[in-house]
Amino acid sequence: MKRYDCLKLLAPMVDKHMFTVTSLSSNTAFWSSLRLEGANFLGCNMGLCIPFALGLTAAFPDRKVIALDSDGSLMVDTSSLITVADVNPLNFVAIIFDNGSYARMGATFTTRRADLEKIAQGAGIDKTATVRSEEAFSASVKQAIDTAGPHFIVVKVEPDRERVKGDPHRTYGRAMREWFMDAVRHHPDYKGK
Amino acid sequence: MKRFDCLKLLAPMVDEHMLAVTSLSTNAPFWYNVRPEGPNFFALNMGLCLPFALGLTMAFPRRKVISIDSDGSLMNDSSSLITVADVNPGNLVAFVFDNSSYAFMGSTFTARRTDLAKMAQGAGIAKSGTVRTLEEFSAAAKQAMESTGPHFIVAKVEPDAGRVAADRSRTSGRPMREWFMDAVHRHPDYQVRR
Repeated sequence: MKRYDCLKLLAPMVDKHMFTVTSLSSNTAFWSSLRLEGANFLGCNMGLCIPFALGLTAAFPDRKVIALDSDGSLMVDTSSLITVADVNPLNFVAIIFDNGSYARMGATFTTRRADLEKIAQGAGIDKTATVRSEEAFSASVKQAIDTAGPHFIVVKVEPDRERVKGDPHRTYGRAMREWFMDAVRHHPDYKGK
Repeated sequence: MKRFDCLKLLAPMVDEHMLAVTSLSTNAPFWYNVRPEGPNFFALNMGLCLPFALGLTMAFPRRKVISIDSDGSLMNDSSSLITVADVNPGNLVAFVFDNSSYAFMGSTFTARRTDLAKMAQGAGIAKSGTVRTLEEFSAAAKQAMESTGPHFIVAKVEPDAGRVAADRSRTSGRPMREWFMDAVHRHPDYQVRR
C-alpha cells in the first residue's frame, strides 16, 4: 500500500473547516499537493505533530483535527500518546503512516519489535487500529471522522519511492505559518482577542 | 504495598557485582539505605534512569543491571522502552515503582488511563508485567534476576508517606558520581580501553 494513495482517499473526507497537521518530509509534500486550502500546519519537526494537533483540538473543539504523522516522528516522543489519552479529545484523529523507515537513517523499530498501536493502547487510547489495505484505510478513517475519538490509526505503507515537490511557500517556514494563521483567522470558530 | 518494603526484598537478591541505577527523589534515598555499597548510580533526572541503565548493560554484559525507576520519570521518555526492546539486553531488569503521583505535582497519568506494562509490551519487551503485592513482587524480581531479560516490572505502590534520610554526598552530585566511578574502576569486569 502506498502513502500517496491513502492520502488521495483521505482528502475528500476532510471538509474545509477541519484542521490538519503533518510531520516533516513525505507527509508534508504529499498532503500539500492534495489539500491546497483550509487550515494546514505542515512540516512539524520530529515528535511534534501529535502534540501540535492536540493543542488545536482544544482550541477548536467542534472541528475534527487530523494529525498526519509518521513512525519515525512519533517514536521520538511516544509519551505524547499518554497526554492524548489523558486529555481525551473527542475531535482528534491521528493517522500514523508507518513505512518502517527513516527518510535517511534506514529501518525504524517498527520493522522489528515495536507495535505503535499497542503502545497507544497502553497509553490509554481505546479507539485504535492498524490497517494494511486501502479498503481498510478508507473504512477506518471514515469511521474515525464520523465518530467521537480520540482515534489512532496506524497505516502500514511501503517506503515512498515517488516524491511530490511541494511549494516551499506553502509547506515550510514563516510563509507556511502565515498561510496557516490566515486560515485560522478566517475560520468561523475563531474567537479573536 | 510500600516501595521501601519492596526495595528491602530486592536488596538481598542484588550481588556485589551487579549495577543499580535509580531515578530521583524517593528511589534514591530508599535504595541507598538498603544497598549503600557497590556500583550504584543514584538520582538520575526524570526520563534518564532507564536509558542510563541500558548503556550499562552494554558495558557490563555479564552482570545484571537493575534500573529502579518511577512512573513520573519513565513517562518523560517512554520512547526509551522502544530502544530497550530493540537492543534487547538479556541482563537488564527494569523496575518501575508506580505510585501514580509526582513528588510535587499531584497524580500522574497511571492513576487514570495509562498502563505502563502494556506500553512496554507494545514497545516490544515481551517479559513485562505488573505486580501488586509483596509476594508477587518477590517472585517476579527473583525470576527476573535468575533468567534472561530484558525484564520490565511495574510495581504498584502507595504514595510514599515518609522519607528516609540518606547521605547526600552518596546519593547526589559529583561525590555520588565519584563513588560510582570508583566502584566501576574496581569492578572485576572493568576493561580500560587503550
